[in-house]
Amino acid sequence: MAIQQDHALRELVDIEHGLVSREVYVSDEIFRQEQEQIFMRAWLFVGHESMVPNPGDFVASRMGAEEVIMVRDQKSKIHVFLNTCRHRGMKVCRYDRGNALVFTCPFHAWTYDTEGRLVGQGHGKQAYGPDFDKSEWPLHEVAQLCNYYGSIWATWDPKAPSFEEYLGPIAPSVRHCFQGSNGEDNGMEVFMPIMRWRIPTNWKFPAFSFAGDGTHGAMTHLSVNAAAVGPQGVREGGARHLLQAPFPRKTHEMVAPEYGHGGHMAIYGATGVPPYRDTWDSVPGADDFYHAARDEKAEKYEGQYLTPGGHGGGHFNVFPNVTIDSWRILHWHPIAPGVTESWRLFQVDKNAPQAVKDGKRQYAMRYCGPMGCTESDDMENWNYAYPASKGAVAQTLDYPFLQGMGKATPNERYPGFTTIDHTYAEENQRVRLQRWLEFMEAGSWDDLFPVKKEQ
Amino acid sequence: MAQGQGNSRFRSPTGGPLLREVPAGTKLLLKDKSIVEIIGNPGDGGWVQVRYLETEAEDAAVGDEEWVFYTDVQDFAQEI
Repeated sequence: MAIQQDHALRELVDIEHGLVSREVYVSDEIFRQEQEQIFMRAWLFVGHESMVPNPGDFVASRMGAEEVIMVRDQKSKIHVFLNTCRHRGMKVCRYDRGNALVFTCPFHAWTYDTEGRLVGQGHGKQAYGPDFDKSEWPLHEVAQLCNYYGSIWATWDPKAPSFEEYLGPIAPSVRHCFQGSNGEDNGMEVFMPIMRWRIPTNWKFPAFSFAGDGTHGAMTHLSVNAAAVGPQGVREGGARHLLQAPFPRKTHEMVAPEYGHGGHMAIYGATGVPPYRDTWDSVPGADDFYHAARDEKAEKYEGQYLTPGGHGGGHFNVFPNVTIDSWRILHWHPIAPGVTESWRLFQVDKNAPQAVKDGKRQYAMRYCGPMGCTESDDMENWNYAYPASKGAVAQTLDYPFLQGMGKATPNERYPGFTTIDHTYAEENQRVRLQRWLEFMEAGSWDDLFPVKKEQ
Repeated sequence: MAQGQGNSRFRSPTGGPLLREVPAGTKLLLKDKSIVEIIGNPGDGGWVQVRYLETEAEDAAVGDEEWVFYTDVQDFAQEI
């Protein structure tokens, strides 16, 4: 299959002047190209290992517009397969999650074990004879998979750099988001089932603006900020976020321009871990748990600066379509040019008492998702911005991404990042769009990875 | 071996074997006269994972573990 290199896209994305054509967000052809140029190449978040704790456990997930199965095989190794039978394409798994010995296609009974091997076909011996080699017809598996401190990522492209190379300077921050509150690596698990719902907008509306749109909150979330949905209730005027103790830190517009990653991330002005401030009025014992966890983490981080972002320090996007912070993973799947499937995975400490887990779950439902107070505000914007940009007249008007133009400077403490010392900027969005353009124009990973490797 | 109607969970209305809920350890008679023991059942009614106990088939041996499709099963090789 030929990969299209479309240099005409440069006429639609003018990063130097901060102007982007609305066509980028509404075009059917661009959407189709994105599936090949971006979603067949990039490292994509698939899930968390805690979603498949036992051999045979599986969950349905997505990579771009395509559905995949994440399964733990009988030897406890995790695989990610395209959810389509090799014979005639029928889905071999039609449940969101479960446990299985095999995946049987209901069409002609082609059957695959949890390692993806074809183990049988209906009337196989009569239809195919003894010379049919089943080993040539396994489920289609991703080219590379990485279990990064519990988070599962995959790519279809064997030429993609390693996942840690793909993350570049943001790797420590990703690792930090999956640490427990006590600083233990891979200390989190994910609530099941996850939230998922569809919104009538293009995936780039949320994916390229989330964790990068500082000026939207005051108006978009005006009512929810007053609704006191945080766990501290109406204490101290109410808020939707957890209370934080004073500590030298400042949230920055922080981007890794060569990689397309970035967000609103805290840079700490002192070593160690911020004190914990009592917050969970409605969950007895929760503050005790988090106090103890914080003290344990403080011992681990004595004399060290916390990595930017995470654990109350802001959140960030990993190109192309996932936003991560210390307690949630926001995933934006392209389904069609005007349809995005939003997924929410919420993390909680594996070793937290059940009452703490339940309280965290209730806060997540109150805050996030289709019934949560905050996201319904965001959805309203995206859901109307898309149709209002589709018309012939509307498409003659560019989107300006002008906030903070020319203000980002290389960060001395964190090489590879450029920063602005506030978040009322659109540097994140410009960087993501620039990386989008690079992916859309690239012939292969040879054109994309910033470090040239010898072939 | 079992014949006739038997338990309806394991027999179709026409008397044929139904595999969906048959537990591991159950012995089956295959159409090629092999006797196999179920070692895994995914519960889809189509396939069972078996170990060969007795066979004269050219393409199987005692101890082999295979997946068997329900159309290749003659009947149960024990009361069920």
